[in-house]
Amino acid sequence: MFMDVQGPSNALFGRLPMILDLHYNNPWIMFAFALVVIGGIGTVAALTYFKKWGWLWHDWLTTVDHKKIGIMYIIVGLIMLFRGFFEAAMIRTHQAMAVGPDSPGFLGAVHGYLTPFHISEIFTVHGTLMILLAVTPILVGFMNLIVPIQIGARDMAYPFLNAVGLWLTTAAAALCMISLFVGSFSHAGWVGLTPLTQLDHSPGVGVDYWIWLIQISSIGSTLGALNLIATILKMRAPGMSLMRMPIFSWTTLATNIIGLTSFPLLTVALFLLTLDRYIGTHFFTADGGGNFMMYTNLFWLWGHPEVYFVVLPAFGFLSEIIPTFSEKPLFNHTSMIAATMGIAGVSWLVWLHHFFIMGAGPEVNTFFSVATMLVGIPTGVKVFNWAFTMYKGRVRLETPMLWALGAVLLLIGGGMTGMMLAIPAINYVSHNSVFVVAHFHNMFLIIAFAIFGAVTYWWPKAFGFRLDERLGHIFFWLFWAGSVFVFVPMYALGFLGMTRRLDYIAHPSWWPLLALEVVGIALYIASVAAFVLQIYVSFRDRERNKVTTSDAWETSRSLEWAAHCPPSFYNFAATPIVHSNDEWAWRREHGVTSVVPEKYTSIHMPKNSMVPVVLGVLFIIFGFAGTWRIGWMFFGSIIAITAVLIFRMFQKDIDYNIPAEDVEAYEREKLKSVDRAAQDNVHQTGEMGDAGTDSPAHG
Amino acid sequence: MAHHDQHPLDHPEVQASSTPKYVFAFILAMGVMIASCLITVVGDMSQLATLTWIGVLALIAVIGQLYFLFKLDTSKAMIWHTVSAAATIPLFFIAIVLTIWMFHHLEMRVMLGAG
Ligand code: HEM
Ligand SMILES: [Cu+2]
Repeated sequence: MFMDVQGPSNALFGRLPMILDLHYNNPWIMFAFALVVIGGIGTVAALTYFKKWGWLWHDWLTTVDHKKIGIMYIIVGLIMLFRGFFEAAMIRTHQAMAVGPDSPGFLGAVHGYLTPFHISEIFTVHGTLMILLAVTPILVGFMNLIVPIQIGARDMAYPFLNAVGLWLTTAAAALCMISLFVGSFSHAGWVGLTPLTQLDHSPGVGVDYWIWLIQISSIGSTLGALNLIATILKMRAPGMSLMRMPIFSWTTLATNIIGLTSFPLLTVALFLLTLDRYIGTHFFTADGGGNFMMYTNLFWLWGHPEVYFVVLPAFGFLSEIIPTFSEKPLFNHTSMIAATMGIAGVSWLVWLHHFFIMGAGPEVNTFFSVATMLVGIPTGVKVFNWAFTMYKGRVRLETPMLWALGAVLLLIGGGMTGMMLAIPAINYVSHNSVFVVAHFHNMFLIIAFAIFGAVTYWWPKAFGFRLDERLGHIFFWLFWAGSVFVFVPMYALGFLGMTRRLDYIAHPSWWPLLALEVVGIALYIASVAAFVLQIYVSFRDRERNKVTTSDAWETSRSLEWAAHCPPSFYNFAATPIVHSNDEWAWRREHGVTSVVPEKYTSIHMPKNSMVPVVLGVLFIIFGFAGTWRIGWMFFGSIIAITAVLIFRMFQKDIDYNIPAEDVEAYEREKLKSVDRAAQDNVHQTGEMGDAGTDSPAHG
Repeated sequence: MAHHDQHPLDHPEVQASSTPKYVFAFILAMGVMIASCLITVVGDMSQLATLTWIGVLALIAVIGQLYFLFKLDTSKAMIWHTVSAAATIPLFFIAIVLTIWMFHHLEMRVMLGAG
């Protein structure tokens, strides 16, 4: 029943014997390996030396606290993001070297220093991990961290499930790291170009790694989506009607509706591909009655909704940051909600714009072209809302606002080129050129900018101190310059006709533009260094950067700014009552900013559990065994996962009550770091958009 | 919170379970599956008729499962589930009908499946 595979394999080790004779040796891989080993040993040594293992296990790994889970999601995502930058640097430098027939070759490559197979692996893993293991986890991390506080909930609706989602994502990231050293990764592009992904054409384990890690992470995303939707619909604090919900929570809702309805499609498409590769079915093969265009169709049925899955939360960040630093309410909250839901709705109707050139003809292409352009309407509404928010506001250019403004500017370029590509006649000449690559990086940069803005904006909320402003500005400008230098030349090269995914560039005249892109990537790497330095310096000076009120920016508006910085593990000592869609601004206006509740009551909380971590480990084994076709281990891990889940179902001791006295003691401890006088006096009038704005707070 | 103090068996969804309905749902699913299998393997109808019948049988299977296994109805306990299921219908329509439409045109123009 199972397919015969090339190369050695046996019942005990599956295809693992392959790594003994087939190995592509490259100093880069050795370098990365050394980095990971040294980093790993360093971490283990530090944890042992400082006796932090218990802390790590009890406070972090087994936690079900949404804030810690959110932070861990963001850390995993940032690590993968920085790995992605290195891959980008390799692609850029290789392409700049492999220009023209006389260009030299190194390390076994005829031109440049990466063989065609290796560079294909690199751009495939770059795309896959940037979208699924970097941007998605970071965004989901922010939803976890912020949304429950923003809607006044104690935690997520299903805290345990939340931890499972985190560990599934981490398992997928771990598989991605393992693939770097054990075997190889897919070379078929992040979209999985068929029939290249079929066993005949990709006989190695690369495509299998790609399949299993996506499968595992998308189960995590589906569970997370379910959880966030339930949390938002069912756990809002009293008074917080849906229309009073802040925009970030709205975009989270919209995003997760998209996620819940689209991720299962990817799961099914990849499952069918798995059947093709493992038991020889013919769903997407080029022969035997298969239809490989159906794969492309199914992939983009998920793929386009996925791009809105990543952009909507970023729009949510912007909608929180811009009003705070314009010292004005968001212009037209209601139309922002409508625009968010509008974008989510249209996201389902446009996927065919990714394969206009397949040849479905003018009727079909016109329909999808028009549908795609409709997205411009709600997006335009958002841009105008942000612009009108800033108009006549007291705009302060602190770091988060710089990132937000950068993102809005980038939206012009990305949106415009998207519109161009949405015209089939243009698409026929630009499809598969680097113009498309520039377009979607332009779009993802909006997300990256919004993410860095959000990191700076909510950092004081999560950790109790502000990030260094000066290094923040340096980070921003380096990152901005890097974006310009990489992507403006890339747009130009796209117009010149350079196709994407090249391992060799035949036109020497393109070299100057490619060299400019290398300058850009160097600026990016420098910006990463500035970011790391920013975090280090801010941490070192954390006492000086400490925030002493709940409202770190003094003009923030939504409910999370009424909680401590960092919030107590149960978020609010007393469930807040909500009066306005800018609840914190409302409280400031009405002089009710105290963080001391009138009375303390007992609080019901979930207990930590080690089950999610165990599941994560089992899922790594599952993915690894699937990839290397080690039957007993594969089915064994499925049985083990099922057994662990059954065990969990019979666990009764999963929650506890914190008695009112303990809450009071805990809060009293927290209040020591709050400047009570300042807290009670964060009082401003006229911020709710009333006439007669005469706030003396910031001149 | 995920955990309630009340006993799991008191939950309305749990109370709605019933052996006869489950058995019936199982038999229905098996019957429909065997019928569609027979149609595909031994049936000797035109392609259109075959597809139509398989479609009808699939619909019966889906509705049967939703009602007899998942107990989707408009009671207070189930309304959320029912509404969520209903909300997927337009998506189902978009994904499948537009896909069929696309492949119909594609087939005419590139002779897909001719090989
Ligand atoms: C919202 C944020 C957006 C993101 C994250 C995004 C992302 C992407 C990605 C990843 C691809 C190509 C993937 C690949 O082939 O590997 C792509 C292609 C495309 N995008 Fe966007 N996009 C966004 C917005 C838009 C908008 C607003 C439009 C049009 C109004 C648009 C129109 C297109 C078109 C037509 C293509 C296909 C180009 C081709 O392959 O020929 N996109 N986008
Ligand atoms: Cu798209």
